[in-house]
Amino acid sequence: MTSHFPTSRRRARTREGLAANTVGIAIAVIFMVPVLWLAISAFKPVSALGDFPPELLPIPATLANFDAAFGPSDFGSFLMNSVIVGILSTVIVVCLGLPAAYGLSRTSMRGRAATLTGLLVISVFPVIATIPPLYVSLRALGWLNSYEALVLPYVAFNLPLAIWTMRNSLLSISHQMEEAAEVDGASTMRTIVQIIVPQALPGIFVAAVLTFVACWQEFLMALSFNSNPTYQTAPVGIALFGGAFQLPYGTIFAASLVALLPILVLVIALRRWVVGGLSTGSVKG
Amino acid sequence: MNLHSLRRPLLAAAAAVAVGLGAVGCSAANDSSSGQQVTINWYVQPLNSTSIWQDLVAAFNKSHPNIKVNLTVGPTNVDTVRGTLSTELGSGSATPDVYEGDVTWPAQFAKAGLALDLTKEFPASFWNRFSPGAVKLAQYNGESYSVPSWTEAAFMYYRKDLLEQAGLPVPTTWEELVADAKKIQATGAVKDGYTWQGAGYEGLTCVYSELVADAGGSIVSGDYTKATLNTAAGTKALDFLKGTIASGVSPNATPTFQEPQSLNDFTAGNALFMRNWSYAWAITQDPSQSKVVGKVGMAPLPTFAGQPEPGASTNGGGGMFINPHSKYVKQDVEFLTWLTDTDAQSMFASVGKVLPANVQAQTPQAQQEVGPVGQVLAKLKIVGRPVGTPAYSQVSRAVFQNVNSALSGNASESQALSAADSQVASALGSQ
Amino acid sequence: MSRHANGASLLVDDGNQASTNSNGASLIGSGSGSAPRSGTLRRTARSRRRGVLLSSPALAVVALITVVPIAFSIYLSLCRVDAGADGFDYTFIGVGNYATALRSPTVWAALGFTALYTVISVSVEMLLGLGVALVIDRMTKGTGIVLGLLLVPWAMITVVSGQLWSYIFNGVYGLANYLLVVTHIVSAPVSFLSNPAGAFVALLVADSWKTVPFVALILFGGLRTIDRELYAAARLDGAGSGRILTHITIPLIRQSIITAVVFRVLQAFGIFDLPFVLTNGGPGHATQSIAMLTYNALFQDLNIGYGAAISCITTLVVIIFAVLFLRAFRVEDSVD
Repeated sequence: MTSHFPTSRRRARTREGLAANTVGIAIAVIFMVPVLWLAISAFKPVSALGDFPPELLPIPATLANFDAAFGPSDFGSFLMNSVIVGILSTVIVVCLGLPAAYGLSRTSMRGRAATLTGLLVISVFPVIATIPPLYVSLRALGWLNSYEALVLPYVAFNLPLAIWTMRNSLLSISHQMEEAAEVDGASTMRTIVQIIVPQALPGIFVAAVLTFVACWQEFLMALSFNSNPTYQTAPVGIALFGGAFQLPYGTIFAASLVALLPILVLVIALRRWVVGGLSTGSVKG
Repeated sequence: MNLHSLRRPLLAAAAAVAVGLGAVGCSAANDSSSGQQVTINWYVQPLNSTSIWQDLVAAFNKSHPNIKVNLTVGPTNVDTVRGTLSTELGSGSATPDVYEGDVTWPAQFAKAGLALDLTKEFPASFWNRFSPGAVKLAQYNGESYSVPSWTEAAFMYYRKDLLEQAGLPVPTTWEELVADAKKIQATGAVKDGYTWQGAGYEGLTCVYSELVADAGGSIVSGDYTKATLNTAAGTKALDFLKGTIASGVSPNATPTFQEPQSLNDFTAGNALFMRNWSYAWAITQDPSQSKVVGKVGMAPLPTFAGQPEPGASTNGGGGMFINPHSKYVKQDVEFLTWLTDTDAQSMFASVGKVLPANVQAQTPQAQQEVGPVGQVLAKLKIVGRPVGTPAYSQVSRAVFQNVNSALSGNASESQALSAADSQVASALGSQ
Repeated sequence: MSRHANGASLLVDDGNQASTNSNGASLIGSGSGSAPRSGTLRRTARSRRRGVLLSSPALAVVALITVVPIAFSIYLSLCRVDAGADGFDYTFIGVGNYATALRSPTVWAALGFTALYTVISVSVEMLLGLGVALVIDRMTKGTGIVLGLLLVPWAMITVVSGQLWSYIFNGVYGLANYLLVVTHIVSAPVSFLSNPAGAFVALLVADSWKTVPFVALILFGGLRTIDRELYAAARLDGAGSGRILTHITIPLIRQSIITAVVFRVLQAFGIFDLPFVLTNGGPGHATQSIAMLTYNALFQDLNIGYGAAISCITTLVVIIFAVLFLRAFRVEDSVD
């Protein structure tokens, strides 16, 4: 189905779009102010971090904080581990969560309400309290100090939200194409992959981003399950900066600034796919 | 029931997950390899930017071919470390074999079964290498649980240039300190007179208990049965602290200050006096971090007028504990004996720039190496925190939260002290 | 429809009602949920089997990895934990830990703070998040860039954003103070974090900065599934923007709103990292959240049974909270 808008309405849409673009960019700028302050501070010498009034630009700029973060403590390898753990967990969450979301939204499976409620209850329970027992099981498996020590709990703890978000976007997809595919004798998996996934991309994207970011930030499990630096992630790396009674803002900010880059790369890499996916989702038929 | 008996059902569940996910290449747990060389895992906290831990390990491994020490450096936040260590040790894990802990931990870790009773592992003469006070701090119910390794104490830092300019001697009483501060603040040479740690955290318990001791009191009774905060001494200490903020001698934001904020205020040249630990000396003398290089002096903390000088100083520092499930206790003991002998201990001074716990290693040379800290240390009056109770963390929280409430004006002094008293009492009673 | 029959059906929309009570429903060509119901019995049975088959791997992983530790924690909450010769020993003591917790003024203060914080922060963040999502949804260019930039606050490691905000709110040299001083709102730096209201607002600002993008992203996912022609049709019928928002947009993204609210409530009720770094629960214990109490009990006081009991109490409170919220949401909806 192709839409043909009368010109006047198209013009109204354009005006609205322009206003939205302006406001949208303004919002992004406001949200970026603290990030900019982090970036500016990361390039200041340590002795200037406590100045009042503060210098608004890092002049003279220094890379000393970056040296401190990446020189002795090799923050790069922590970042690499975060990327590996984050991507593995996200892929598994989407692969397991999407079929589950499908089952919970587009089949007449029994106990859907109870299952979704159960998933919710699980996400309520304070994660802190589950760490000691999880530690015991991971040790029994010999999985401490490994990527799977983090991937496994991250998958389990992020599946509920991912299933919920993907289910929401599946609910609003038309059943016609699916039924047609079924009549044509397509298998369930094939129907999901070829018909559902393209339409559900916005929801899948949201679920994937939420999962990746949650893994990216997680600290307590990462610290408790992997004491070997070979497998430690970025939040743990940052917690190792400094010494007794020291709070090295400069080093922390420099490391965190670099830690933002993978997220940006991810978003930029996904952008075309995402925007494509989003428009596929919005133009039905 | 015991956590170990839980291991089997958990193992089954976990194995089922592994199968379900189609996981392959499960790495086998590497248990004791009964070869000639034994590896022991040593867990420490970052001390400062020096390579002290790495150097110690290298030196030990070189001189002890039969034992290999494997170093892990944990996070800087001591409570974070306690959390991860208690998870690890509480599950019955055999590693780390030896770990560094805070001076406030021995009673709690002993009671929780997270630390090995060292009394029988070391000969009685071993403990003579430390000061009797340090040995006592590491005991619970008369047994030793921690081997002191390096020490740390609270000092008064002052701007010697400004005091000289004003022709003032280094204050020995709190009253003098406040008067000097007001005088020099009035000249505009500094914004703040005295900067200290007033945030709601362990540091405030240290600050407050020093002042309570100066006023002739204590936080709990000597036998750990009663809370003794809501007393004349407790009130005098709180009065003084509140007064420094109210009079403008200490910054308004003091109730949010921990060590880094105080140090920042001081190294930016904004403050005349600072209470801080010995680690701060090196930073005040580092031109890349400090604007007061060469202008700083150190002295014992003052006391209240009419009390014997000097004022009380809290001590800190690190002690080494042995994991009760370590498979190599004999080697752990050998390592700790080496670590606290004079050779290794003098490395703490020369490389780590901190004071060794071994009294024989506290030589003039070592004192030279750690700066004025070394010379002033002998003059300090060390007053420990009430760490003899396993409920110390709760006692301390009751103190710092309520004192912080009073400092930030959210509770009256008497409300705060009586609340602290009853919370301390209930913490002591729960043991 | 047995809407109010039990908690479960209140918590979860069966998925087939999303479109039935809104104005927009009839405009969506095919009612979204009608297909499984209109099928023959054989097809329903097949559909059921398929649902089970597709859901079970994910559910099994969640169950195996989370249910065992949670069940164990519930057991621990009924025990006294002591050091044994070989690890911990557990003695069953019944509800003693719960009694201690419920008698403790600290626990009640933390519950009170956490509940108040949850209500205020979730309300503020939902409103802002909806606004941001609506704007992004209408953008014709740069959606990807704005979305990407908004993800930065959300993606920043919470401990770091806590440090960043404590640097910004510093009472001596913070940027916030600088901005207030140069705009002559205050004459000298103020110590935000040493009074309860200031600390609360600081937490709220830092938290909203981080989670408004989260809310916006979830709602945006919902908005993108709305057929654009619905808006056009409503405009032709003479509906204004406000009416379109309340009668088309919000009803159609109700599922996303419920998801965002429910998960924000859970996150807000479990708030830990941010106050841990920014206020450490202070001044006094004014911003001490229930999760911080749990952390203190488990990892500082090594009081494992007590910490587990507080965890279970937290869970119960949140479930009650969620049920009440969803009931209120439903009631409002049916009045409409």
